[in-house]
Amino acid sequence: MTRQMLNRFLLLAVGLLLLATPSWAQPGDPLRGEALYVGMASFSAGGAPCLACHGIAGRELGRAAGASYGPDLSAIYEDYGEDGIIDVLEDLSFESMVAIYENRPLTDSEKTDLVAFLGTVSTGVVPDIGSSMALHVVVVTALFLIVIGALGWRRLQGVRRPLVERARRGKGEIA
Amino acid sequence: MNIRAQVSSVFHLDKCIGCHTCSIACKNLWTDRKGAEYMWWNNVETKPGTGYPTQWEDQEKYQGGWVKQGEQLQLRIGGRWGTLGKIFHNPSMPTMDDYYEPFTFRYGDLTSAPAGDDQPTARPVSMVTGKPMKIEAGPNWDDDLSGSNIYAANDPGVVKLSAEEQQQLFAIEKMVMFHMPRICNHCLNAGCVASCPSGAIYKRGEDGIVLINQDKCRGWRMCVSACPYKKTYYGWSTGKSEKCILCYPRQEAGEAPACFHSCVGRIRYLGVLLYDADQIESVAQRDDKDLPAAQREMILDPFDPQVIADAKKSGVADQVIEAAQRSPVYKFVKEWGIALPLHPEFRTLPMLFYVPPLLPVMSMNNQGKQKLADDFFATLEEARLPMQYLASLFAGGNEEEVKAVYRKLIAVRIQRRSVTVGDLPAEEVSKACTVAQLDTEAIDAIYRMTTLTRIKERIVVPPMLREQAIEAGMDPEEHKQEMGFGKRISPKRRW
Repeated sequence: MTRQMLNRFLLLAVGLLLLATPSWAQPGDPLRGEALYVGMASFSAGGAPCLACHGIAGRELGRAAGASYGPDLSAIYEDYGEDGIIDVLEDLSFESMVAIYENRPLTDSEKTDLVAFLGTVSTGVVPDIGSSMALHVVVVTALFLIVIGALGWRRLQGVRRPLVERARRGKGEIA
Repeated sequence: MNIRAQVSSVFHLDKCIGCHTCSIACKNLWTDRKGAEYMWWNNVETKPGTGYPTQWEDQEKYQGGWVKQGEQLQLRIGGRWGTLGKIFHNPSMPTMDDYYEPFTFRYGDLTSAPAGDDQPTARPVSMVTGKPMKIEAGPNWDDDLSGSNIYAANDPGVVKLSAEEQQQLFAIEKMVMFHMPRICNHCLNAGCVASCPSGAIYKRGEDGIVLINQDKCRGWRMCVSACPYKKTYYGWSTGKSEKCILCYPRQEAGEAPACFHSCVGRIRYLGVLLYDADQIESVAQRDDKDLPAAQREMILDPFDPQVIADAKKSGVADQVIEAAQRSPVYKFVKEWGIALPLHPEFRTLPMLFYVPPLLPVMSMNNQGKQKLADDFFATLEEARLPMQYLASLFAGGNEEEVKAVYRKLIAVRIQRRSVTVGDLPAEEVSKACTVAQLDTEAIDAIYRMTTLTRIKERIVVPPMLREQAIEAGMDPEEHKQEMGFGKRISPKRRW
């Protein structure tokens, strides 16, 4: 066995040891959790950041981007608790998350970091958001459509039909 | 001198009987397919009338042709930036109703309808939507309707006349009309070519035929507006524009274009003209009334040794020069000066010329009783169709141009009458010749060309010399091996 191969073996062993360390042995890092949540840091397996679907109103996360595919997670820590959240991430109990994370599982440290972050945002209440925003969106969309419509309104005016109409009105006879 | 060859034509309107055989020949050959049903590359209009599409001559609406901007010519729809600004929003186009909604009938219902109390009928259905429709218009809806208070009364040329003249035109016993067949004019200063944002329209160097490259066309439809004759059409099925191709595949095989070949009245003449391409810009800027004469000046004498030498220097082949010498169009337009361009004031320098019709001009007083030269020429003053109307069609409003043509046509009649009937004194005949500025030789030649010639004399298809045209771009031998029957690149579609 060459020295090089020995080195590789040692490295692998240390790596396996690190991986095998139980998650509860390390407290989560809420800052890293936040980075993972919003996508500033990426999950090692390449899964989508949580913010892609879930907003956190308490932190004003996900308002502008319209992260509303999944429910708001402001109160998830109260509802599920630490173990509950980890279980959800582990088992993928919600069907829509299966497709996203089944082949891109989160590591244990990522899970604990996320839990730690969710623990810090927890306020217990989901503040009301979006109603004024929704109104803005509706008004702006309507204005946009009205302007476009006005530009195109009677854009192509016929020539023949008005001639016929005029003759019909004028003399009451047609040719 | 930059001498080029142009395949041009003359339509003799006195001979047109309005049978639409030309339109049908063209339709069967080129536009009998989905998306092209409404297109009539060749159509025959009744004048006075609004034409096809409705009021195509009204450039206030359709923005076709060129306008003078100081020392420059500019497309009426706007310059490069103006066109770009309108690229998604161009209201200066005919609607489908202005052409007409193409229709067919459910003939199958006549034989396959279930038994009922009524006779089965073939209902009209739209060829666009396939749904039953009410037929309200067609490409020649006002055919032969000279007094229609919708179509004839709204002819842009008639609208320009004074109220008195209009009234005179539509008085029952004076009602008058003539037929005007129209195809693409294959203009020297084509508006469609200049307007195309994709650069898909081009004028063939060797014969001046204007074509739309179907691979390059993106369907922006600027050409539909910019062509003042409304002779480019948007194919709603292919999403590309199309136009008259002057049957170049037939011409390359030495055949006359289909509409020329099928013409019952033998009104159509085709031949090559040599012209100086360096003059295009300056000629197109002349005043409205000078345009017909200026356009004639551009056309060069194919017998002049200097012109022949210059033409050879510019790359015009000997066979083409020889064809230009046999061209009946040269005789009509330049030698005899009895053919005029349609609406020269659009400044596209159209290369299809018309011999204006004599019959609708002849005064009522002359009908039945032949009078002598003096009276004959007086008919121009009391013409049934106001000279102003004809001048606005064929001479940019210059009545003198049209009158000069009529004097010649009348002189031909007088001369022929003296030959065949022999009831006119010789001095009347010579007086007619003097007034018309024609010698008897020319009169005989006009008579012969108008009445007696066979198809090879009327339609002189020049040798198309495709090898030489190909040579300009690639080795002809390579072309022969690689191109086969040509290629078609189908458009990329997302559906």
